[in-house]
Amino acid sequence: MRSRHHRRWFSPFALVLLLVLIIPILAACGGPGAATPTTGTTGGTTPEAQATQPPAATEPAATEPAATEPPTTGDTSKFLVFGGSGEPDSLDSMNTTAGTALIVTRQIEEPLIGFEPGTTNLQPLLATEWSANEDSTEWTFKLREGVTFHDGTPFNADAVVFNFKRGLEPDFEFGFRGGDSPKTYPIFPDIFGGYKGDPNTLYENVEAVDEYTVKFTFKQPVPLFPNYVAASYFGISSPEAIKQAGANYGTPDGGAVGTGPFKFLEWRPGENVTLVRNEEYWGEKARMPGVVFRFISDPAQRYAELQSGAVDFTINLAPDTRQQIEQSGNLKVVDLEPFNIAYLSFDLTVEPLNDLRVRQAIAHAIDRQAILEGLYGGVGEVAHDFLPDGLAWARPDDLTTYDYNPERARELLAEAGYPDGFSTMTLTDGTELPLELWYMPVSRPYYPTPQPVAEAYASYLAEVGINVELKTEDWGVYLDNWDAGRKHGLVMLGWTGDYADPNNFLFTHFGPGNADEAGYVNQQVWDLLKQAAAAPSQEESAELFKEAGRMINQDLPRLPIVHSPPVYAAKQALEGWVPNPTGGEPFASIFIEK
Amino acid sequence: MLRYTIRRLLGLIPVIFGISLVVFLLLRIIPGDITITILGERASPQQRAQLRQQLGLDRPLFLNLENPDELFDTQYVDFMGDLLRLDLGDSLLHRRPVLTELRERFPATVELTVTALFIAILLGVPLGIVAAIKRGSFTDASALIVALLGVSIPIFWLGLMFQYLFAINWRILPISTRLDPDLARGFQNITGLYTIDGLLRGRPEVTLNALKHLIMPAFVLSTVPLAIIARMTRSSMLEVLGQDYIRTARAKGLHGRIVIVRHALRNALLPVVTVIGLQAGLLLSGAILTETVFSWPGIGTWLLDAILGRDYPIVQGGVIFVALIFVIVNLLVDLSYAFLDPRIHYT
Repeated sequence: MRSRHHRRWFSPFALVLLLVLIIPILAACGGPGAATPTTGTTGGTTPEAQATQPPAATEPAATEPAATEPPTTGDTSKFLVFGGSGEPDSLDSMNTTAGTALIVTRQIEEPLIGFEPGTTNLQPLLATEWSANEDSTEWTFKLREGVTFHDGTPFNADAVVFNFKRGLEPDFEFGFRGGDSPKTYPIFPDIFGGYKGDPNTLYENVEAVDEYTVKFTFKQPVPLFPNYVAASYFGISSPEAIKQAGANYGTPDGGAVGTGPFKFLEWRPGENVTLVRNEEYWGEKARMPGVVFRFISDPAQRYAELQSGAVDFTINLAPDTRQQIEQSGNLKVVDLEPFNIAYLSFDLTVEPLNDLRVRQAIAHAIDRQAILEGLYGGVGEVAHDFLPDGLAWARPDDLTTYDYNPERARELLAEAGYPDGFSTMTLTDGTELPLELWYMPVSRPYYPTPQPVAEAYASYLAEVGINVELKTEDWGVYLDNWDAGRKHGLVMLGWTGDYADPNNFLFTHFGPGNADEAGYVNQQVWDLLKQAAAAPSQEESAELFKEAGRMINQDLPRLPIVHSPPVYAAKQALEGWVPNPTGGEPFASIFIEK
Repeated sequence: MLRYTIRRLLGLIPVIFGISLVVFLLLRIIPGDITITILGERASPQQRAQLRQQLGLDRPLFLNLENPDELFDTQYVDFMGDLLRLDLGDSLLHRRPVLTELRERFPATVELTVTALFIAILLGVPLGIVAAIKRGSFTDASALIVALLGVSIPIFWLGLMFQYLFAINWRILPISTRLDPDLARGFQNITGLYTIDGLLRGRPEVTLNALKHLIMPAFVLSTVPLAIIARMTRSSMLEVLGQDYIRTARAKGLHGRIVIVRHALRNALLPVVTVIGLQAGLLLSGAILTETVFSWPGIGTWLLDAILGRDYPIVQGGVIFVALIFVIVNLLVDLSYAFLDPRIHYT
């Protein structure tokens, strides 16, 4: 009888009941503990925690409030948790162009020049002063003295020379360009026209003049060189660490070593990168003991993690979360100046988009202010030029603004011979196709919600009789076809700047190999942009940029839509975060208070 | 038995070969390539062409017909050669050996799926038995509804709802990942299973925290196999319960529970084991949705990122590995029949 009774306890049905009960209890136990934050790094201390058998453990949650409590609130022994938008591809700043990587490397490897918080104005960092010769073909940097890398290697002119040679000179011994996982340093040809030896490269030489002076020599004037050097791409790594890690430098196995406010601790692939405070930092030391970079590619998920308290601050959320965050009470939106452009490109090789009046009509037909209000949360501004405010010094102030005016749009269409609008386009080979409007399949900071925006364009255009067919495709293919000039009709795309150079916006979109793919060839614009890049001074450069800007504004090969900042958000208690428009701010000043 | 096993293992070779060929081809047929992922939107076509060349992606696929001297200097021949040496190559994106990454990622998936399967069996089999015994009753109907919901609720939706309720609204469970960052920091893995490593390292708080992180994703992942197991157990039990020897056993006066557990369940279990085996294979290979929703750093998210980024070596190596697991689990299931049913012999 006794044994039968005993057995009944373990009947399958009872087991089910037991499990059904255990799960909520286990879950509920987390609740009360949440009031007492613990560091979570010491051993479980309550007696319950010693009972370690997993399925029976109904109490353990009580010892682990760390997971449920916003982990850093009021507890400076906790690390900051940053909700990044993806996993870095490399922590070698010179060997990556990924924003997900550069936000991490900026904490470890510092560039020679920094930005004043929240702006693109330069200020000394590892270099204390810099100057050019008369025609800006030679730039000399005075370096900060008494700085050491995290591994103890002294920071000096040799270290700077080592870093730049590695990126610019293909035969440099420690470039690690061969093997199975070659380093490519893709940003160097992008900015300097090529590596050493390439016909178009601006680069001539870099040398150490004395222990704390470095001189760069160029084949032609590079007036904006300090603006380039301030980009997170040019973080300086420890030469010794690079020699030691070889091609592994910047990988989870090789780590990264710089002079920054945080030191590399570990990179758990797929999980996070953890940095710890550099206690020997030459400047103001970081407020928090460390920072964890999480990899969360989905904006909705980043928002959920922020709401749950698992991350402390995050970037690039959907515009429609702005209002929810502002009303939430425990979260806040962190402002930043937009440094991007969303645009609508016209394919000038097709009829009737090759007619300027048609392009002007389209510009007048679209209510960009309403799109900004409705689909960007009203934050930012309608764009009349590709240059955002951070580069306003190179922007002409007499631009045609193409304000919303459907009446004018109809007039222009009538003048162009389309009084009733149109719904087809004719390619150069005579093929007639429905007029296409391409929207991106992915959310980007400049177009966080491409499809609704595309639908808005379509309905505005329909108002004036222009009917489009909305199209999209795989993002990689989208860009492939774009590069190859295979996208006809209207194409949505945009750009986020990463260094404070007007050509980062203008040459990128109107230089050779760019807008000409879509039929816009204006030799004068090309010449002006090239001259501006090589003018002996920034003032002269600005005038040339403005002239190019006016031409682009009149030719209207691409319609600028908005400069609107992405939504950055943090816990209400987080302070000291001043996002930089270029995406490269140090996290040293950030802290969380009760 | 041994001969059978060896024969089945040898049979793996053409399977793996076939899979490698299909994966290799499919990856290269789909448009788009890794240079976009590595270089980003900013890259010029020239830069991308250069990178393609550096990575060897511009080489011929199967046979180099243009240059017969180097007929076999092709992507596929290299890939197969490396595969025979168990070298899965380096990830193009992360610039590390695929095998290293596989070793890092697999334990996370094992931890998740084993837990999920454990939950599914522990809940599914009893649910099925009860439903069968009380056929037509309210319990049976409820069990059927649970099973129906289990298979039909999309995993990602359920995951999101759980996250919203337990992690955001009530804040009683961690929203994602395997461990709190403050605990994970500097923690040295042994097996890669945090629940076990925590105990091995004498850090029970790691184990407990890992369990808390496991609850939601494992439960969400268990819903489909749970439902399938419950339904299979129910129908299989019903069939067995209707047979003559059960009636005989009952007529002998045996207690109802003994009849069910000793006589009925064991015989009803055979098809259930098949289903469990199939589900185990599916789970190990296909926790992609659950892993994505819960930022679980396992094989699923690893493969998904690699597919989106066109990281060929990871996709190739990962898919071959997953296929291998699937086939091996199925072999184990087949072998287990011999233990469950003495009538089955393998020769």
